[in-house]
Amino acid sequence: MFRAVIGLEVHLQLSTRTKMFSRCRADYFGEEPNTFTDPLTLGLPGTLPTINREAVELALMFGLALGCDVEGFTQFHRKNYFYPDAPKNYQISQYDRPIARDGHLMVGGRRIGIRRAHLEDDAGKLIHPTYADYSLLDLNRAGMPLIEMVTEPDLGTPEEAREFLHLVRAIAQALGVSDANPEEGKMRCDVNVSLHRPGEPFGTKVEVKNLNSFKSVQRSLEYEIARQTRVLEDGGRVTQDTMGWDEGGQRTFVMRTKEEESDYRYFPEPDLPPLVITPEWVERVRAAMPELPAAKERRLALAGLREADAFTVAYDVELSRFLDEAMTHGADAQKLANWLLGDVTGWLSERGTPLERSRLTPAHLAALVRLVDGAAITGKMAKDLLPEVMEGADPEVLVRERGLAVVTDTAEIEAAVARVVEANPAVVANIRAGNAKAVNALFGQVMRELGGKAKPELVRDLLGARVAVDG
Amino acid sequence: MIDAPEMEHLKKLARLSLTEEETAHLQGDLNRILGYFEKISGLDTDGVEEMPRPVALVNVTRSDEPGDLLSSGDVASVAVERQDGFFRVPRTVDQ
Repeated sequence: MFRAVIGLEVHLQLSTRTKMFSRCRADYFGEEPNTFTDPLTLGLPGTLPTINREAVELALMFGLALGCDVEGFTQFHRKNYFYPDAPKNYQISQYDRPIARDGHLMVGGRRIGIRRAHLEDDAGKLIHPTYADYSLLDLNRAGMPLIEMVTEPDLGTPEEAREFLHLVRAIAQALGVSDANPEEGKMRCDVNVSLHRPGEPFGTKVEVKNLNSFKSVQRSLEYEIARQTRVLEDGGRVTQDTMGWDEGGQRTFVMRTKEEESDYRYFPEPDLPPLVITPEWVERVRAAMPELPAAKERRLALAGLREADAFTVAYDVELSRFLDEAMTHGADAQKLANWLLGDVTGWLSERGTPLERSRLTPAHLAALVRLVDGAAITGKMAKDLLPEVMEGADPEVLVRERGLAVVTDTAEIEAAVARVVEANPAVVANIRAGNAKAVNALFGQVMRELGGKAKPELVRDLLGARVAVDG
Repeated sequence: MIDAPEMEHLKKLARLSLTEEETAHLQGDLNRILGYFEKISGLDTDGVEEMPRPVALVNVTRSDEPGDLLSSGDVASVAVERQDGFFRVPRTVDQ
């Protein structure tokens, strides 16, 4: 049997306000083409790059979260190539001295090595109209800061690769390093995969480039593993190719061969001085680091969340933000999670609304939980209120305005019990004769007397006591 | 030494179209430059520290504060060909 050896290259767009090497604004998403440019973005003669400190610090933070070495000398290199998406005719990247080295992440108990993570600027976006003999170029994305992370070939299965990517996204989002949103092109992935028999040297690897969803990473790996298995079983050889992924046909295809590494003529970027990352700088960044998903998971478990719920919430940046804030309003953590992962998620997914864009506030969900907990309303009443609370209504206001509050006033309930008992001597006699079930008829009447708003347990207790006492 | 096939490869990378005469001339220039660097490479540099930049500057960075964007008129003025706000460029993928 063959065993797969998988490595990943992940590009994350950093969440900065300006581009990597110029003050050009970075909030171009969804805007008209070429409206977010400046002379540097266009590669105009005479322009000089400057290093965005925020991008450097986000890269340091991400590197620390991956357990990388980040201290010491790091520098930028020019990667030279002529292609219409790069108006400078080179990309400013890093080569021999990346900002982060030698880290790892634990995925399902397995250690996945991180070889390096480096900073670079992004290219523009080309589109290719059908039947045209030209391409169209939008440079809004050109110059955006990227971090490229390269793993060791430590991943063994397509599922593990996908799990790894989920973890990377959760970390990037928790740190605020990147939105890591594949749909917006803020997280892009290349995979390397080869097959070998355990104990034998690694096989020839194939690279599949430009995968823009976790699903296509998994599918393309499954496809390549099956294809390479067939080639090897038929006694053939896998050729070292660069492949693309055909989303429609769900298959890989050979792309035109690209340049060799030496063809990029890397050399140290003469327009940028190098960086020396001091221990003090590292400590400043570390001190400002938000809580990582693993720590969040432990904290939520300590706060009383079931293990599975703590995991689900901790690795989802929106759920954990919401729950953390709701918890500050003094409601029980597990009960909040029950609502959040149950009825709230159900309501949202039916409507295709993400949590962060819903009108539900953490304070209102906490209020709903508190109302049920304090027996002011029943669980059933809370569920009935939820659709309105999801639309932004304050449950406390709803309860007050509609007089929904549960009757917990013992005197009021006792009075109703007395009225019902006196009006039904035959039923009372029946109960006393040993027909315990007959009490249900009286219970229903008391509840009706109180408009259905009495706490059921309280009614049962007081009714039982009354019937017994009178006997 | 840069030979004829290497010259063809370099011309392709640099997107240059040159006559035979120009190619031969450039090949001579490049080989003289290479020879010069081979001479430098022959020097004994044991114990000499790497000098990544001639100027001893480090950690020159800027804040993440936005500056001005170019107007669409300025952007249009540098375009050779335009279409719907895009730059029109040679086709980069097959039909």
